[in-house]
Amino acid sequence: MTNDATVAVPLSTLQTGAEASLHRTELDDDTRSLLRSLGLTDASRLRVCKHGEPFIIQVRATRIGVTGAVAGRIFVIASGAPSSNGFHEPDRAGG
Amino acid sequence: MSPTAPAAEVSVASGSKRIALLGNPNTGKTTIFNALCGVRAKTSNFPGTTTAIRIGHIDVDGERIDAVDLPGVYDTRLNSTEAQIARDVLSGEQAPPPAATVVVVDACNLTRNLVLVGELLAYPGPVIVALNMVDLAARRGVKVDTAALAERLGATVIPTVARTGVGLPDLRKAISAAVSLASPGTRPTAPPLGATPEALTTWAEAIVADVVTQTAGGSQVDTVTERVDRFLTHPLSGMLCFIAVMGVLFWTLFTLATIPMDLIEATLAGLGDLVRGLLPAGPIRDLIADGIVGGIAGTVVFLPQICLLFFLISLLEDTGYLARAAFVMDRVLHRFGLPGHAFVPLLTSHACALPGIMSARLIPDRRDRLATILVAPFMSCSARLPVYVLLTSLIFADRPAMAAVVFTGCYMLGAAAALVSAIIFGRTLLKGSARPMVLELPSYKAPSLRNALLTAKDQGVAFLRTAGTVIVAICVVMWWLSAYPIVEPGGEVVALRTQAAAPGVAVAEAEALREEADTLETREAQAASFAGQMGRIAEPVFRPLGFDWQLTVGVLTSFLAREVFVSTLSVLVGNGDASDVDEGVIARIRAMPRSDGTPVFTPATSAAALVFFVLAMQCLPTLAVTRRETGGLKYPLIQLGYMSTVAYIAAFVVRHGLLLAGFS
Repeated sequence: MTNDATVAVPLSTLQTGAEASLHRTELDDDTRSLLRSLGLTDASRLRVCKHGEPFIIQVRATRIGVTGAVAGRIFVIASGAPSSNGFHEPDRAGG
Repeated sequence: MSPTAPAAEVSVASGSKRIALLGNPNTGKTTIFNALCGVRAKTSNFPGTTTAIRIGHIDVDGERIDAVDLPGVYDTRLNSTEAQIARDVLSGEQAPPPAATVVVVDACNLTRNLVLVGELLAYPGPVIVALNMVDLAARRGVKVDTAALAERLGATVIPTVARTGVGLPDLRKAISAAVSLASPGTRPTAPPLGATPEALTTWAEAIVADVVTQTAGGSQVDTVTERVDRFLTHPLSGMLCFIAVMGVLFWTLFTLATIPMDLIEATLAGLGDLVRGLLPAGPIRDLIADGIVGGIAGTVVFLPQICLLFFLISLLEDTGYLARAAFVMDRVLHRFGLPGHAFVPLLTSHACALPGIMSARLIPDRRDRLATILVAPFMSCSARLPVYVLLTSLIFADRPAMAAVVFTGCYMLGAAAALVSAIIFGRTLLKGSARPMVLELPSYKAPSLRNALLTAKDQGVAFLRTAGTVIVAICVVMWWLSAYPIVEPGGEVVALRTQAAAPGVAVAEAEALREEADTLETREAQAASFAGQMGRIAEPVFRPLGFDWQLTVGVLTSFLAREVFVSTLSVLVGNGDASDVDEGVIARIRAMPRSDGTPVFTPATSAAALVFFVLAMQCLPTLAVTRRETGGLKYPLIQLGYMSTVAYIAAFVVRHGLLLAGFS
């Protein structure tokens, strides 16, 4: 992750359909713990379902809504153009 | 958790075994609990907290097994009351640990749900996995090899469809077998206690990769849900939809609750009359007919609104809409330090603050919940309506349009006071802003009527058991203060009755004389009662607002319920039937004199009284519910002190502002 600082961007900058993996968060402990319990663990992959307020992301099969302010404090590494079903990797069933 | 908290509610009944039911929110856990335990389950606060848990029992072949339905949690290690309760129950902090734990898992979202299973496997005792919503998973092309999953977990796995009852007989048998086990058996890959979410996720992903297959065409991207979400959370369409949904909800609440409320009032009024007819006149008859029956009526009358509200909220929550609505309102409410969820308590408080405050349970964060509870009574409830009608009629006798404008202004003033107070509490007593909104957006689904009915029943019973008893006691005390001491009729009353009984007086004239005597006697009794005496004692406090002793009595008696203010004034101006406040009575109240002969209800005093009633905490039942929901006297006392101070200062400013502006 030597160049992470240069490629990590706030989640709020990603558009609908974009994919990324979690890099770091700058949130209070309780909010961070809640996000981790919802599946947004370190390096987990996510997909942007809706850009704006609220910001909706999907982590595996969980859809998480966050306010724009929270999305601005979640830093991710974008994965490039989305695939037709929203995820680059083959879907992990039930996951 | 208080070590001294009573553990009776979660302890094992003598001779029975106990299981705990746990799961992520939105997995169908409540539906499974309801199916297993039926309508006999009880809701009560977990010892030392204000968080509700449900306790029921399951009968399997004549064997009784107690079941504790724990609040839905994503992770037992979170810093929340719900997670703390789960930890306490599982580790046996409050009572012996459960003989087995049933964890309800969403088959459509297995990885995240298995993280919680992984945590539970670290605790002692058998774990049963209820793999729920397998039908929905199958429709999405997800197939779970339950035998392989059971082997990997070292736990029993039962596929279920809670809504239709599929798998529930097997689940009962599994529970019966598990509570008889001495040890949980072999757990091949159980993660260690304290494993990080990342480690647990990696463990869960490995299991999912082995036991789940996805048929061709299946996809995690649900475009329909995404479109609906975009519509429902859009700043414009989302707000319009929110207004429409809330409009329907509150129209239903107001319309349907009125019917049973009227029925309850009529039934209990009839019961009071029956008691009066059966018992000989005296203090015992008055206590039962007016004090106790009146007190019960004053409590039970809230039940229809409370039950119907929770029924409707449960339906709405089940559909998945409430999570979206919370985001819509968060844009507005976050600026005032309130969470988006606060819209339900605040809107409900327009009907009545009691169900409003109770519905604050929807708010996950305690700081946010307290802020909402503290400000909810500022919203103009239906009990304020008759007071607004009376006072605006006094101020604008011949200008109904102006009365209507001021009437609307009262509602806006109450809402503005609630929002501004939320900011003040956020900077003082409850420092910090509302927690940033992070919510799971569950799948949309049809609501469960059975769950909604059971939720309504549970909340109604819980209200009667806790706040209800306090409210009955308050009603009895307030009745006693208003009715005692009993004074002998004055000379004028006796003279009128003598005159009515004199020979030669026409029947109609005698009737009128007796009516006048009754009215005068009621007025004398009210003035001589403890409440009347307190009104005279408290008069100097309210004098700066322009209130005389009569208005002060109205303020004091309205602590029972705000609408009592109107009937008190009606009696004080000599209206025999306190419930019938017509134009003539309003005219008499308008002309009500002070001791020095000048009118009480000048425009300045009427406006001050109106502002006072918009802002004051004139409702002891609300304080009883706040005490119940916050777990102590601290917050109801703060609520009473704060609202009374704000109301007093605002009324003072209004009165003296109007006087300075040249109004009398």
